[in-house]
Amino acid sequence: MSEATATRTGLQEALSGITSWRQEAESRLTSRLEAIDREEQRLREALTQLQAELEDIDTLRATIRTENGELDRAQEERAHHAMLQGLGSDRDTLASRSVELAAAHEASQVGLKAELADPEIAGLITEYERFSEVEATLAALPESYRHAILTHHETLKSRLQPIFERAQASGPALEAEAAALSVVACLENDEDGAPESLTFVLPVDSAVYSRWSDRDEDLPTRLGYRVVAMVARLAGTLGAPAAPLTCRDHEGFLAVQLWLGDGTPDGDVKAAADAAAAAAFTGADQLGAAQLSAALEWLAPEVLDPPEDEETAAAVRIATPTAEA
Amino acid sequence: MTSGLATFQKLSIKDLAAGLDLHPHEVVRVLVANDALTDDLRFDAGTIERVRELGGVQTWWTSAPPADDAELGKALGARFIEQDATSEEKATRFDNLLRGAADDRQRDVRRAAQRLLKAGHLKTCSSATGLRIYATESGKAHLSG
Repeated sequence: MSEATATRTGLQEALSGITSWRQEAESRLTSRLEAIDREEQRLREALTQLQAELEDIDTLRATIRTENGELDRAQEERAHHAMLQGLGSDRDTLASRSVELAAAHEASQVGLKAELADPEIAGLITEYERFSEVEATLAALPESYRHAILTHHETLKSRLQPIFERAQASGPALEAEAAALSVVACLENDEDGAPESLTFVLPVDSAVYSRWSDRDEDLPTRLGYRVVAMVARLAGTLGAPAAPLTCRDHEGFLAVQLWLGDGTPDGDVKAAADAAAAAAFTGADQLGAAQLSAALEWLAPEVLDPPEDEETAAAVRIATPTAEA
Repeated sequence: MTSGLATFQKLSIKDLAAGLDLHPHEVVRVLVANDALTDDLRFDAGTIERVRELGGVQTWWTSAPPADDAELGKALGARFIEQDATSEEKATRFDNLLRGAADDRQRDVRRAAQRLLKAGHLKTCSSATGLRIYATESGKAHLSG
């Protein structure tokens, strides 16, 4: 090789330097591009994550909105359960007071029964009872006979009058803590908002109605009578004395329903019902003797008969503290 | 309770109901409609007959209802004509149709009445003393035959 070819010229050196610069520059830029790619990848992954989180938020928002929309129904379902619990508790109170009242009345009659067992009194009673057998024949008897028999019977009545009064007296009042009972009331309107039916659910077993002949006429039974009487009177007050009145079972409790859909009731149905109930329960002597009071508790139709479907059940599940936890 | 004590005690609504073969709640309705429900829910012996009269309580079966469906329908129809329950104003208590029939036969009587109701020969209406039923104009001819 000649000396001339072995030695690089200044230009060659310069060009070689440029090549090196180019290689360094390319290497540097490639590194930067790779860094940018990595950053982009990181950002894209973060974006995907954020997008997923946004979608989760959208889903959560929709779920909460659904739950919010179902709160009314969940509340109604809870109120329905509360109603059944309350009626059950009041039914137990009423039943136990009824037993106590019957025992107190029985105890108060012990003395009277002993007196009735006295031979002299028993004889007077037998005579008194026989009068009803001869009463029908009195008209056929001579006046003097008739007068003598009637006079004797009046004397008997006078002698037995104190026993008569004691036998008919209501039993003593219980010495018990005062307790209040709720009778559930529900007014259902038709599509136009006019009163259609009025339902009362009592803290009383429906057997009071369906198996009346097998049961004693106890305090719950008599409360049933009073509510039927109250509703019958209310029908008259509302100008619908012939409105259909039905008794039925409502989840184990006695329900009394008045159908108002065949006409237009006079006046404010709820106010009239409140007044009728107040009069009926205040006049209920045995309730007072058992230290019990009763009043209407108005509930919405949806509480009395909540729709039974899966959505409602789901709404209740959503709203229960357990599910929230 | 001794018989002596019972002599002096007034009747309960259950006593009235048993004496009339009428549901106690129906007894209450008859008493309320006639302003005769006492505050203490206790009544004199004469109240049974009073409720029977005021409520129009009748016993339609003094012998067993016919076993044959067609005969039962005829017998039931004949009673509507006999009792002149031939208009809404003269409607009879629905429970009169069943009274006197044994429990296991009351279902047959109900079915017979249901058939006549479906055919339009009978119609029910509500009253202050309970559900009532009567023969319609078309039913009168049918039931008389």
